[in-house]
Amino acid sequence: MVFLQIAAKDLRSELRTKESLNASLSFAVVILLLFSFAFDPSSEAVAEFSGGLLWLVFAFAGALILNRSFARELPNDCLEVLIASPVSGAQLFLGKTLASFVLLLTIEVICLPIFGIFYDITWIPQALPLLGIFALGTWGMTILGTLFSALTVNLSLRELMLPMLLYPLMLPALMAAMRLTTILLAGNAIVGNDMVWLRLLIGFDIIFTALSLALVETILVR
Amino acid sequence: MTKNIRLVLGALVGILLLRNLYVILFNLPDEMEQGPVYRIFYYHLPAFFAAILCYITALVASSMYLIKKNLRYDAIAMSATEVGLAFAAVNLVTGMIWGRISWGIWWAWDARLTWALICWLVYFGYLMLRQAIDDPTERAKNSGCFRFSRLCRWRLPTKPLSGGGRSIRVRC
Repeated sequence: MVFLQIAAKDLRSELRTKESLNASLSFAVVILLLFSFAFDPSSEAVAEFSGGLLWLVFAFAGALILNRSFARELPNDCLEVLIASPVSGAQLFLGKTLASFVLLLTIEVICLPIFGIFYDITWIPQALPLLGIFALGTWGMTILGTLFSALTVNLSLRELMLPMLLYPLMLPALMAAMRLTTILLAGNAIVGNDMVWLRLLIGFDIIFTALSLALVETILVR
Repeated sequence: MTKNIRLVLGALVGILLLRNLYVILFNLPDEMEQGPVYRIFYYHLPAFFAAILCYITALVASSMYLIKKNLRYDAIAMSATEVGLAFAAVNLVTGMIWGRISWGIWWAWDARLTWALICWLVYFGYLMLRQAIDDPTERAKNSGCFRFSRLCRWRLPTKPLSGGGRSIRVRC
């Protein structure tokens, strides 16, 4: 269970400085605000693409959190020490993913009521299923994002490279999460043909968790 | 010797290309429904097949690099991606031109078009990643892992993309 200790270390370190938490939360609110200038926020059409709007905000805010995941260890060569320690690469990776997952999910849970207020969307009756979809979508984003964060940690252009590599690849999960969130925010249940999106999201999470755990040792070895 | 063989092969391909261009542009009659625009398929479809072949070659080469750690495989992966990207661009542009003439719009958010654009962006990202890493071993390892992570293929319903009932297959 070393990964839990690594996750706790990352969360403690983040809560002390709150640098990526504050940055991505304020960034998410700014994007929510900017969207209101692009179209009429009170129109009924907003409900039809509410899931898409919300997940775009999460994806942008997520990139800021994920960028810091491994970059946080760069000062004082902490990453080298972590890699040289008897902790396996998979444990280190899982710990970092878990910490990013908790941080991003926190931001999403704060953003949802703000989104509801700004765009007049009722979300409280569907709060629990929404939380489930958020958890599944966020896990897909963080597992892939943490892998690419490890991949780009030593690059000077990592802030630019991470979103560029991450967004096209996580498109299946993003599409599924957007669709499912829109269905739930419209007050409907996920049944019948819509279950395909849920299956896709779960499949994405399982496949990329396994793939990332298999690849991370190769990536972390210097 | 190898250089000579390459030169001869290049010359042969050049001659064949000229002959095919002549046949496509001057010998073949127009298609009954589409008119002369159908000729674009003589570029569009082969470009697609060439791009897919390059992508598969690059995937195999990257996997081989991760197993054998031989930089030769990495060089093959990179060259195949560069060539594949050029063919994919030809495929995209010719598809757009055909769409403009047949459907009246440049970009239709058709499932296949969207898939092709996503793929193009993914492989462009691969080249960007390589460009950003200086150390050859680190570059080969990281880009190999990145390439390997796009092994999965997805069949998605296309409602958010095109509104149709067809499916889109996303190879990432």
